Amino acid sequence: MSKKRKSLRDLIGSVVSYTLILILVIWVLFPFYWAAMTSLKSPAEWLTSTLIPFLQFQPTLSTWIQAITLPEVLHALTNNVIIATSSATLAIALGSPAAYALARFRYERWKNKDIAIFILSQRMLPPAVVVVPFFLMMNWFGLLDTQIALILVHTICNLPFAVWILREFFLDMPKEYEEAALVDGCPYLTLFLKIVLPLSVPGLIATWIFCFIFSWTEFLFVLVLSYSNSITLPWIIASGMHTRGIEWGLISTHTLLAVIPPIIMAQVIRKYMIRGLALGAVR
Amino acid sequence: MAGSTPFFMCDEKLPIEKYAKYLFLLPCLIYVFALTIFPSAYSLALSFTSWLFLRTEQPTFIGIGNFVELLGDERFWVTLSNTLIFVFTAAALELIIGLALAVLLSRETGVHKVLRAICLTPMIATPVGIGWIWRMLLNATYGPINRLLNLVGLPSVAWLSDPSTVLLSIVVIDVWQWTPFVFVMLQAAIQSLPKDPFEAAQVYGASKWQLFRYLTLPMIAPTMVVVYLLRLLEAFKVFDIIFTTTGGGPGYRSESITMYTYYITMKFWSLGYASAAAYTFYAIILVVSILLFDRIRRRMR
Repeated sequence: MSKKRKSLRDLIGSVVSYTLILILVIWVLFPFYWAAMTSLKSPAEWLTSTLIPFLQFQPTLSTWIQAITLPEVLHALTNNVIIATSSATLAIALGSPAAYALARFRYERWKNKDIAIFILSQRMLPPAVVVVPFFLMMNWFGLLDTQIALILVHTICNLPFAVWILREFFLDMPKEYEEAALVDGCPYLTLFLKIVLPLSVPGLIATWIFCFIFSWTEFLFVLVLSYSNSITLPWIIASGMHTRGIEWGLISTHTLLAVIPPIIMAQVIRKYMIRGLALGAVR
Repeated sequence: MAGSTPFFMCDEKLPIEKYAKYLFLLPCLIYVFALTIFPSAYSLALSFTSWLFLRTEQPTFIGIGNFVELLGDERFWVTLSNTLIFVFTAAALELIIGLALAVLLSRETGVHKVLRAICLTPMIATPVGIGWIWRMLLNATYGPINRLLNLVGLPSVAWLSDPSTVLLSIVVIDVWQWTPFVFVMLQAAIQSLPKDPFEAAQVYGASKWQLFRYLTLPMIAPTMVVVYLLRLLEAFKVFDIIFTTTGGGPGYRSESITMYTYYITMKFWSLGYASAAAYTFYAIILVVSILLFDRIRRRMR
């Protein structure tokens, strides 16, 4: 009797949790679905609340073709790739030695913890505080509206983060190889380049993707520091294609175009993604 | 904790090796100094000057004039209150809904991995794009949300153009974007809890509510605090989503502090005043930052 009741309870329990999961999934994915449907509609139907393709409206790829053949969109996409790739790489190049040093050496005057916290706390500076000085700096150096300006700025946004995740990663790495190499008199730089970096490829890739995604989606600094040459996809999306009224289909297409690469990349590093977003707070 | 990790010794090495530990750290610190410490110090100095860029050549020192003007600026107070209302409502809702979901879905289910993957998508999607999508969803005439309201017999709401609902709408978007994050974090925290206390309590006939109230909740409280502070701090910077949904309107009823400083900078080119506004804002969120970093420091390895 009690066994039966328990299994009934379990059944109700799993029905409840699967219903919740279903609601959650619909809630999370519906906006993307809506954008996808809008991108498949013809301009006359952009502002109608039809939901199901073929049944309620005839899907067409014309908006997609129009969107990806626009020269400025291709230009922005290229910029996105160049800026995100370079700034992620630069953040790793500057961040990994620092992260390694914080994980393995001991500092006396300022403790390791203090240095790490100091670096991470730079990430918390509100962008509003540095908008004006960044604009002036780039203006002085003649870098306004160049990809270099955005690469430099996105790198500084990512660097604290990169140091933080990589430090955790190096702390988790066994020290045996490094100790053996040190006994053999291997200099630190060789040790780092030849032993540590190859061993930490998964962590480096995860961090790189993290930085890439940030740079790919960043908007405020792109808006302040560029106006035509170095614009990125978020800039295009925000500008809204206003020439003939708001072109909802085009905007939806561009949004999906911007959203898809990070989503695919994030799945590769899902485990690190959550830890990274939490700044290691769960441990 | 730190004592359990042996560090490398640096003696008996080539002279340059002695400095290796500084050389590894130096490039990063120089970069941080050049692109954060210097700019923010410069901005602080600018906040005591008056400088209309493109019109006047040099900033002129005016003491605390900017700050005095700021306190008398109605728009500053409106944007500040907008930001505070938005931040605290959104973070609280995210925490409550996220916690409820995490507790109800704490059992490992078959679709768990897929669920986490799906939960990641809103937070890495380009925020300006999210703003547009939600502008379609919240559209007064065609938006599916109003259609749904009409279906159950409720009147349409002009979500983004009515001053009384516009902030709420922005909150909803933020809740959509970040509740999955809170959920995933808290679920991970719940799943990593030790099993023994729960089994023991069940033997003594504790109810599900008691288990939650006296075991789960106190044990995940530290994680909840960190997640909450993290959300507060990130929400304070809100800009992208408002930029594409309302542009700060109607009037400046949904303008955030970051947008306000952006407009002063790029529309009025009043750089000294913009710096002062940014720093006043920074002073306010510094409290949250300090609380957060205190927590992080205590949990650090």
